[in-house]
Amino acid sequence: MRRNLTPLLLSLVVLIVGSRISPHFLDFAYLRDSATLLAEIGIIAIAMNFVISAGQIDLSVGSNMVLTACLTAKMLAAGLPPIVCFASGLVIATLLGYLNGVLITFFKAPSFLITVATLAIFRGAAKAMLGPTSVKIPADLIGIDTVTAGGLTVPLLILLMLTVMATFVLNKTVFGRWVIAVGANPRTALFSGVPVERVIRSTFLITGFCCGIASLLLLSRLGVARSDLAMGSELDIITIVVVGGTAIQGGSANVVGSLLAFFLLTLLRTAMGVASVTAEYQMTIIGILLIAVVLAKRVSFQSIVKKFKSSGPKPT
Amino acid sequence: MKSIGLTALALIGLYFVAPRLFAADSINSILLWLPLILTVALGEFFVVVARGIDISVGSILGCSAMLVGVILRSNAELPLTLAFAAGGVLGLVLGLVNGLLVAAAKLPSLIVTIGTLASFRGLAFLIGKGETITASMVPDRLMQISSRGASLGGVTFTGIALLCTSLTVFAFLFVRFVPFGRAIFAFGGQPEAATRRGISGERVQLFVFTLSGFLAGIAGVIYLSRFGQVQPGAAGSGFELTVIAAVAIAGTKLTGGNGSILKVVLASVIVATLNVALSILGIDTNWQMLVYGIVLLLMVCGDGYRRRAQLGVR
Amino acid sequence: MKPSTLALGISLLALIAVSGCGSTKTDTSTTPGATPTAGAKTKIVFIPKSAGNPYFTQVESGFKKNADQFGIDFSSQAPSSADATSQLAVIKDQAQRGEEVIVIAPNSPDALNEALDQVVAKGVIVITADSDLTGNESHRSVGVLPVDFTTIGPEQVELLGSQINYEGEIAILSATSDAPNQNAWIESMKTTLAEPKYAKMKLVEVVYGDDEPQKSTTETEALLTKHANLRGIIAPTSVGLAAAAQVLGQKEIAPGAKNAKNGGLVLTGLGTPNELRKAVKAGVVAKFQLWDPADIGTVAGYLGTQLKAKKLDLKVGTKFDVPGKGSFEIKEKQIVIAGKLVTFTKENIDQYQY
Repeated sequence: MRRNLTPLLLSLVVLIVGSRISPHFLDFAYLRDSATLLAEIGIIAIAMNFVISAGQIDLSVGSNMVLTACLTAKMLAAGLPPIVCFASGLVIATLLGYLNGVLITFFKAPSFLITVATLAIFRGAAKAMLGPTSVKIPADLIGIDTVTAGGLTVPLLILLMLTVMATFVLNKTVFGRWVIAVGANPRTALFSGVPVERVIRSTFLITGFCCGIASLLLLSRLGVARSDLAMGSELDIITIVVVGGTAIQGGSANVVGSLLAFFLLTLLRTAMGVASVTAEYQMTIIGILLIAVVLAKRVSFQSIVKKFKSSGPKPT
Repeated sequence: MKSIGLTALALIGLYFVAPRLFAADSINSILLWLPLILTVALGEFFVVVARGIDISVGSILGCSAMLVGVILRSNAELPLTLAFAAGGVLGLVLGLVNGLLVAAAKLPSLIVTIGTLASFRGLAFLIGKGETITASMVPDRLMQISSRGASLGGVTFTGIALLCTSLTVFAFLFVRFVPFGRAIFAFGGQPEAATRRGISGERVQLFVFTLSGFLAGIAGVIYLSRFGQVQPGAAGSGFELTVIAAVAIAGTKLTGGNGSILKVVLASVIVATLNVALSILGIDTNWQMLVYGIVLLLMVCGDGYRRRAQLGVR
Repeated sequence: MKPSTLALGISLLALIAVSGCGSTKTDTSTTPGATPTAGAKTKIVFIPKSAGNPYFTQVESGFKKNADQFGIDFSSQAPSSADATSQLAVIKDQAQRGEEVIVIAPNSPDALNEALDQVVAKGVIVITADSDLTGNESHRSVGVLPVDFTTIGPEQVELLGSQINYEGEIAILSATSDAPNQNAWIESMKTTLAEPKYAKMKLVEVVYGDDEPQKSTTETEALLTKHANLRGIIAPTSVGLAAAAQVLGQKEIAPGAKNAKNGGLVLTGLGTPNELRKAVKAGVVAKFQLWDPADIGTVAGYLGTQLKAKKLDLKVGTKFDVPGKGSFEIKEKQIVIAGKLVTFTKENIDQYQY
């Protein structure tokens, strides 16, 4: 709990500041819907924990999501049964993710470069397939983001569910320990019998699968698929993972932290949005937040902490 | 030298597929792309050699182009050297911010520069108060350095090409003859060993990020000279991927310590050619991204495959 | 307890930053109870395609100029980029702020459908401006377009044709292949070119510069390489036209310039006077066109107030007067045409400052 205090406290600060600068901010339904708008990104961020804690990175996730959404929409528009289309969508996204893993381990190439290339290829394929057109999906499949259960929308519930699952897998299973071991030191891991390459491929496979889930949610939320959706979402995703406390160098994971970071980012965006903070300030502030959070992890505040402890920190 | 042979082979092959690409006009187009890519790629090269990555170069380029545009708008008589100096200094300062966060605060460069990518982009808006610089505000003298120059057989060697060439020569000499240049490689190859030999890792990191920022700043002025229009949100946006592609195609190891300036030049030529070729060959606009990605993937995998063969893996 | 301190430090920063820049924007409209006259004014927000685009600043000036006269409490909020989905959050946030009318220049003809329906369900009036939700018009109440798009083809083709004796190879430099306006205009140009008067003008290629200076420049240069006999280029986009003008200027191949071949290359298109002023004065571009973007803001602002007051019937054929602007008509698919094309030349360009 303690290591997740930062995003938690920051979220609290944003909540307080947000409610001060705009009377429209503190509204549960509004905040919930705003979070739902970014839920796909959160879902991929949860999965990205596997890739990053294994010392890799996947920049192709946004493109994967969009290509899968386009293909799924095409199948739906062709009149195939929805269940078949959804299943194929998940399979396609999983395979695209796995493809990254295969290329990386086979060619011993850095994941950064391979996934920069597949970022262009996946989105390029979507663009080549659809061009300027878009594909609409049947009306009865639209709007999963407005379905609520227990006060939360379906995408948020899925996000929570995946967080629990990912936490369990990373902390309580052999596979989870392998992932961390590979990220901490691949050589040592290899010598101690960890199937390093298989683990790396699996992490990309998991991320691909979650891109699939995200793409279905995206499709249902927007009602259309086109090639130019969710541009640049990979940077948001990495931001969430890192702010959440997962080290970019690998060797550690903090899934719950990512979830909290997701809420922090949502709250911050929403607060700034509803206060009509201009786009350029929004960019600047989110960039600074990212650096400040990692910076804070590095710099020892012990001495300052002691000073504050006696008086007790009071967030205003 | 193998890569040079391969490049030559690829060029010859390309000549038969697309002779149009070798017309003087096409070469001029490539020569106008090249300075922009190569100038930034040189900085990125040193960062990568020192085990870092700089994602923020596109935003720094945008800031610099914006700043110099704003200065020239209100002061058209400004000597061009000062315009370049202004762009270079702004880039240097922004690069220094990256460098300090990486070297002094010991943060991962990917994260730092993803953060500054956003923040510096915001800065580009603030510098110009969100306005756009148009060609009407840029003096002809600046525009002409990317259009006039020594001409040979229809191919023009422009001022910006000259500038970029000299920067490249400097970089080459720096790596060859200056001890600190070699220290960067030593640090990138084996940081611990280098530190034991008295090379300061902090200084290396601070230097490469500042240099990268400086060169991106210079490239901002080149951008302004070349296009004459600067939109705060768009100028240089996404340019980091082009540049990193060039450095990667050059076979520069992302794990640091290895790479050659000559190969970066070649790779930048390849990337510049690819950009122009997509247009000249008339590849459908909807297919260009896919083709670009596939070429990049082939290059990256080809490099990996060669290394595998050398290592004798399986 | 290291994280807590840090949180404190950052929160301080966030506090300063957010409240600092928020204050410039959080006008009286966000302070509850501070606006007793709120009922009299219509709260209208304009959402442009992206931040930092001077064209939309001019559109905004149309709202602002008439805000007092029409009774508009005006604000604008741009997304950071022109992506298809970047406006979704802005729409939601502005509705939450209590804006009564959202005027939006949509980045996508259909990706916003669901989000717009959701705010419409909350009673917000949605008006599209500058471009429309082509094929999805039911998701907004009325669309304000700058000019009658079917006139763009004839006017632009004539503008180019008259300068090249209606003869020779021509090309079009467009923005992105998925921009509905661009595609509509290109269609309209092709239809015009099929007329006998333009039989000797041959459209050899349509290329896309993605509204980026780099890509537009490269595409223009490639056009020159690919088509040695090219006589003219139409660039119906500001960024493209400015980039192409830059290429022509640097290569000195415009009519009358040093390197001009068989009469020189004629460039025309749609662009803002500010971006083309230099090219026109230097003789690189003789004539080009645009409408006054402010007209869009004026008409959309007026429509917003009238729709809010339920004073206007959106039935096709309804006529209405915009004070100081004259008479307008609700056309097919609830489209209102805000203005007409202005041709800019060396003589008149200095009268237009946008």
